[in-house]
Formats: sequence, C-alpha cells, structure tokens
Amino acid sequence: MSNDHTIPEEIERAGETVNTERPPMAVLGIGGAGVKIVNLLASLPRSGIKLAVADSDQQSLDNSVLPENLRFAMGIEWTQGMGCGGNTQRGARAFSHSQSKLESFVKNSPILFVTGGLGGGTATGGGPVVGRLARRLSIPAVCIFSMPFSFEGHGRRGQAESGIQQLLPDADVVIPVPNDLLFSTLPASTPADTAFRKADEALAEAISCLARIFQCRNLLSADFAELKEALGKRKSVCAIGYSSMDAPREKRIQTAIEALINSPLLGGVKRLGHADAVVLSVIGGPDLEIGELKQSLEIIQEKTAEKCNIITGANTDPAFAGKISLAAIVIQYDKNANPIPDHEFTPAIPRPTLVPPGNQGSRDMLDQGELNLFPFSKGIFSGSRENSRDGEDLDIPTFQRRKITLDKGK
Amino acid sequence: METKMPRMLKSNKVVTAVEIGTSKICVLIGETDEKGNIIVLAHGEKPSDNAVVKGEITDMGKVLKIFDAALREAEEAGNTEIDPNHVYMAVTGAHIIAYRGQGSIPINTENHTVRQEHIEEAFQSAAIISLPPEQETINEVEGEFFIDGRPVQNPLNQTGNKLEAHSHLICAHRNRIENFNIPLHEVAGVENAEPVFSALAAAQSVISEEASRRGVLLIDMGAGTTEFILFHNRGVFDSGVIPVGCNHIANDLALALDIAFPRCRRIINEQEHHKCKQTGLSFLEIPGTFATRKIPVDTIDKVIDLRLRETFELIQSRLLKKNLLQHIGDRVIICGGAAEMPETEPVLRSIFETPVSSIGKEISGNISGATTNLQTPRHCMVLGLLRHGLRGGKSQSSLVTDLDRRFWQILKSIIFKLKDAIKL
Repeated sequence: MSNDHTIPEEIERAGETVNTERPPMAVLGIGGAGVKIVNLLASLPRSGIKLAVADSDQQSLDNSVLPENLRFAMGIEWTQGMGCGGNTQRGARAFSHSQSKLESFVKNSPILFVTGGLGGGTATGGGPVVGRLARRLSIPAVCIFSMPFSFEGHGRRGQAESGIQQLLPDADVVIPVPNDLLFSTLPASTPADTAFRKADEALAEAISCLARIFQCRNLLSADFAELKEALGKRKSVCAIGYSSMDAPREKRIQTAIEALINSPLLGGVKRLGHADAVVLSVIGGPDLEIGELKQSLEIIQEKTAEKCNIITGANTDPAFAGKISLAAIVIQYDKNANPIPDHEFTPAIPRPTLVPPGNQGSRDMLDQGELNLFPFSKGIFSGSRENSRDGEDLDIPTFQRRKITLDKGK
Repeated sequence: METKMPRMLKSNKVVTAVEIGTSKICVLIGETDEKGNIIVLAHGEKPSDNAVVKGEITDMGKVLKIFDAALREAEEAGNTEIDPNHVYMAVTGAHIIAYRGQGSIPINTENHTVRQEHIEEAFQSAAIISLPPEQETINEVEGEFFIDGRPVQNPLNQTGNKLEAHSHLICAHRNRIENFNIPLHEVAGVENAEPVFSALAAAQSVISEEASRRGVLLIDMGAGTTEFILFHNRGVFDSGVIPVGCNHIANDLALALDIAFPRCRRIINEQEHHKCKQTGLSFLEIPGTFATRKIPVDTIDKVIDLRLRETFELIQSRLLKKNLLQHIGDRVIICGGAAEMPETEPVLRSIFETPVSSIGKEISGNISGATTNLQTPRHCMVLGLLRHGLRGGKSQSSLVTDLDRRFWQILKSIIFKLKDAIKL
C-alpha cells in the first residue's frame, strides 16, 4: 500500500530530473522581427530554452537584450551591417556565408525554433538556410513566422509566400501567422506601436508554450510527431492565441478561455469554427484540476467543427502554481495549394512544361500563346527523348520548374 | 597455380554478369566454391563515355568498342573465358513496366491436396497477361498464394478447392532489350543472354530474406535512372524506373551555376561541397579563365536537395497511390551512385519516415576473389546480377515466349484433367 503514495512522487521526480538533464531547446530569432520576438521571449518566465538572434543589420542586433556572444551578425563583412534591403538573395547569401557561426549554437539541442517576420530579406532568405542546417545536424526545426500585413504591399506578400514555399521542404514544421489577424480583434484606434508589439508578444508566447509542450509532457502528451503530422509539408495558415490567468480558482478557466479566444492573433471564434486542426496546450500548477482540463477541452470542442483535429497537451509545472496558461495554434490548410490531404508536397505555382516544337504548328492561328518568359534549358539532355511525367519534363532542372531563384555566387 | 588447380578440376559453371550502364560498362565473371560462396574470377570495367543515356543505348558503335575493351580486360585479368551459355545482362530504362499477374486453378485431386504441379500451374497462369505486341515479359517473380481466398506462405500439401497465385511481372520493350543483346552477340558471340531488371539484380546482393519478409524498399539511383523495388512477405509488390539519375543532378548544377557538366560531375563524385562544409568554408572556389568564382555551398545543397527530393517523392507518391507505403516494415535501402552522396540518406529518411541504410562494404560478405574496387554501392547491382546467375537465373527459360507458354499450359491442364479422370 505504501507504494501507492510513493509512485506519483517518483514519477514527478523522474520527470523533473529528465527535464533538467536534457539539453536546452534552441530558439533563434532571425531578422529584425526575430530580434524583437526573442527580446520579448527573454522577458517571459522560461526554463530549458536557450535564445540567440541572427541578423544582417547591426543596428537591430544592438537592440537585443541578449549577451554579445548570442548575437550573430550574418554576412556583416559585405553588408557592412546595413541589412539586406529586402533582397532575399542577399539574405540567403548572408546566412549561408556565416552559417558556421550558428552551428555551435544549434548543435545538440533537441528542437530548434526559428522565428522572425517573413517578407523582408533576412528572414525570408535566411530561413531556408537555417532549416537546411538543422536538417544536416538532424535536429527537428519548427519555424514560426509572422506574415506581413496586407497594407505592406503585394511585393512583400509575394516574397513571404515564396519564402514559405522554400521553407516547406526544409523545415519539419512551418507555422505562418498572418499579422492581418490583428485587425479582427483590435480596435482601429489602437496605437500602431501596441499592435505590432502584440503580434510579437503572441509569437513569443506561442514559442514558449510549444517549448513547454515538448518539455514537460506529464499529463496529456502532445509531442513533436503529432505537430509534424498536422503541419509538416503542408501549406497552411495558422493563428495563435494565448492567455495566462492568475484569477481565483472558481472562475479562472472560463476567464482564461475567454481571454484565449480574444487574443489578438487568434482571429476570433469564427476562425476557430473553420479550423482544420487545433493544437491546444494547457499548463497549470500542481493544483490544476481534472474538471478544469475537461471544461477547457469541451469549450474548444464546442467552438470547432466536427472534423477538426484537436491535439491537446496538458502539463503541470511547479512554476505555474496558482496559475493557468492556455495556448492554441489554429491551423487552416491552404486548400488551393494541396487539395488532396496526402503527404505529397505540391507547390501552388503552376509547373511549366515544354511544348514540343511539332505541336506548336497545330495551334489555331488566332490563338495567341503565352510568352514563355522563364528560360528553360535541358543541358546535356536537350537532344534526348522527352522525359515527361504528370505533365512535367523531368529533364528540366527542378529548380527551373519550381521557379526558384538561386545565388550563383560571384 | 595452387589456387587455380581446384577450379580447373571442378566442373563448376562460370557465370558472366554484364552491365551496360549510363556511367560504366562492367563485366564480372564468377563461380561458386563448394560451400556456395561466390568467387569473382575477373572484373572488367570501362566508362560508358555518353554512349548510354538514361539507361538506354544511344550510340551502338561506341558501346561495341567499350564493351569489347571491358570484356577483354576481364578475360585477361582473370585468365579465363566467358561461357556464352551463362551470361546475364542487367536492363533498365523508362520502357520497363511492372504488372501484377493473377492466376487461379481448381484443385481436383483426391483429398483436394495441393501438389507441386498445382503450384507451378497456378504460377504459370499468373504469368500470363495480355501485352502489347512490342512488349515482352523479362522477369517473373513469385508472389503470394491463396487457398480458397486464404493467404498462405507455402501452399504445398495443404487442402482446398482453389489455388490462386499472384506474381510480379516485369515487362520491357522488345526492341530495346534486343539492343542490349547486340553488343553481347557481336563481341562475345552470346546468343541468349538472360535479361534481368537491374533493381531485381541489385536486390540479390543487398536484401536478406528476413528483411524482405518484413518489407524493404530498395532504391538504386545510378547515373541515368533510378530503379525501385518493394519486397514484402517473400514477394515483390511493386517495381519501376524513374528516368532520373545522378547525371540529372550534375546537369541541374551545370545549368544553375553556369559550370561545365564534367566539372559538376566531379563536384558530386568527390563531394567537394561537403568537404568545404567540413572545413567551415561556405563557398566553393572554382578557378575560371579570368577569375576564381566563389559558389555558395548552400546553392549546391539546394539544387541537389530539390532533385533528390523530387525523384524520391515520385516513388513515394506512386507507392502511396497503390497503398503500399505501409509495407516498408524494415527499411529503405539505397544503392547506386547516389548512395555515396551524404545528402541522400537524410532526404530519404524525411520522405519515407523509416530507417534508411546505404549499402557499402557489407555487400561482399560471402564474396571472395577479385573484389578490389567492387565494394562500393556502384557495383552492388552487378554483384547481385552475378549472384542471380550463380543461383541459376530464373525458373523459366527466356526462350519460351508467351505463345509457347500458353500452349504448354493448355497441354498441361489437359494432361492433369486426364490424370484425374483416370483416377476417378
């Protein structure tokens, strides 16, 4: 009988020792927004995470609260610390040039979080480079990026979209969060400064909650594999919400859920109703009640559609005594990009094919064909038989068919 | 002399394996010792010099010359001659298509017990499919058996009313197979070399019976083509050819970076970009006529990754469509030139989400003799082909055409029925 009393303690102790022995998870903020998010993350209570920032802009790095050895200046030798000026190729080059600096930081961590704002040069170009670095070191990478506001213009939006396309094959999990969601809950009179800060705060909270999901795993476990299954290799749009409550026990769960639904980057109840998947994390102190857990899950289930896949992680952490913290990632798949929900990666860009010269003559004279502005060449295979599969000529380099611009070097 | 004496005294058959591949033309001559281990007697190899593109011969004149040189090298090195009756050649190319054959026969014997003849007959009827006139079946692999719809591993001596056999048939374009025969006929006087689909040959040297029972996907990515074959539970579930190989990667690099193709081949073969990474350099320096170019290693990585990923995803999506992915119970094995690239394994692991192993030195476990330079993933297929030949090749003679087979089958079934009628 005495065993009954000792078992929970043992488990708890075992859990704690495992946590402390584990190497810390790495969070890397890249680009200007990445530095800001990591600054906010540094001010949050956290354990088991190590932070670093990397940017090509010296000024932005100077704003970081991190010690000097955790600020990585990328490609500073030839950008002169002036940033990439929105050029993704410069971003990619800066990162590939200095990636050895990041290697020692990233190495040995169980998971790498990469965060920043897409649409500019540094994060959009550098993100895939960091993704590939993580893959080479066999570290799972979770990329949480904010997408630019629509009012920032088409160019920036397009750049961010192509950034996501390039990230998908390299990172295990890509969580793009559109900044536009801020408009759904914040009044128009909110100061711009506060609005941007709120967006960054939401990302910082999301990273901190995700890290805790992977760390504690003591009640209901939601692990990396589940997140990868929900988000891996699929283009999606995500919304994130968080809330942390220190209210009296009777009402704290209701208020926490209300606050979660009203979080600036969640996009309100309507968005929750259209979600394809929701990752929900509930963290409380040792006083977390099973009733509270049940209630929070039931409310989320009520608000979501029947088909919605809900991944729940519930944990207790002594640091949260008397508190409850909720976080949700609301995932909506991009139906246009991948209509069949299989594991195949199909980019949204239409893939070009070569029209054999013989077929061009049979066209209607009045039918003006599209001018092929993208140069396609087959190199050594130009004389060989067409190698077509699913409407694509496999002899044309993959990067040309996917319209990926590459840095040829100098 | 001492080593040669026993070989001359024994009347072991000497088998020749020939690979006319995109990167090399290779001849292996071998025999087995008294324990059944393989002894490689001779090895001749010459680069194909662009005479073979994507696994198919494009310049016969060149192939004849190169094959002649490779054969002579082998014969001189091993001080032996090939036996024209036991020659096996590897075939590949986009024209190869795999079909699933199915045949069933009633068991009309006393007590309804399955006999060896029934198994053979069921398998033969499973091997009969209607093919377009330009195609022929080159390899037949026994698959699963069912007795009254119940799957069985070995149907012999079991009872039932109906025996059903499944087989995996690898079919190829008749003329293109004939093309592979020409050099053998012209240079070595070989009349009937047995064609073997190269993935099937490679499987002979790398897949253990235990692993194949659990389910193995073997991918052989050579210079011109990528072949794959999925083994599960003794049988072959799927196989095919993707006409993309390491030459495509080099060509992609050449077009992406404006560098000559042979130079790109060297980057891949010698893993120059990988060496850069190990030394902490992020640029690969390529000396040009006027100035040295600095190519970002990351660009090279990206081009290679895109092509490898696309090729393996083609295989993955095909298996997914056929609902066969869950049958990879053991692992994915990669051989061929791509297995030497450090990028291949991680890409495969991320696509198939199973253990991945590339084949290196372990292939020559029970192979002895002239094995210098043979212990590489590039020679995995030709070694497997030799092993296949030494095991006796396929059960049916390649001379038997579909028509003959159909005739024999009808005749056999008549005899069976007569036998049963007499017993009754």
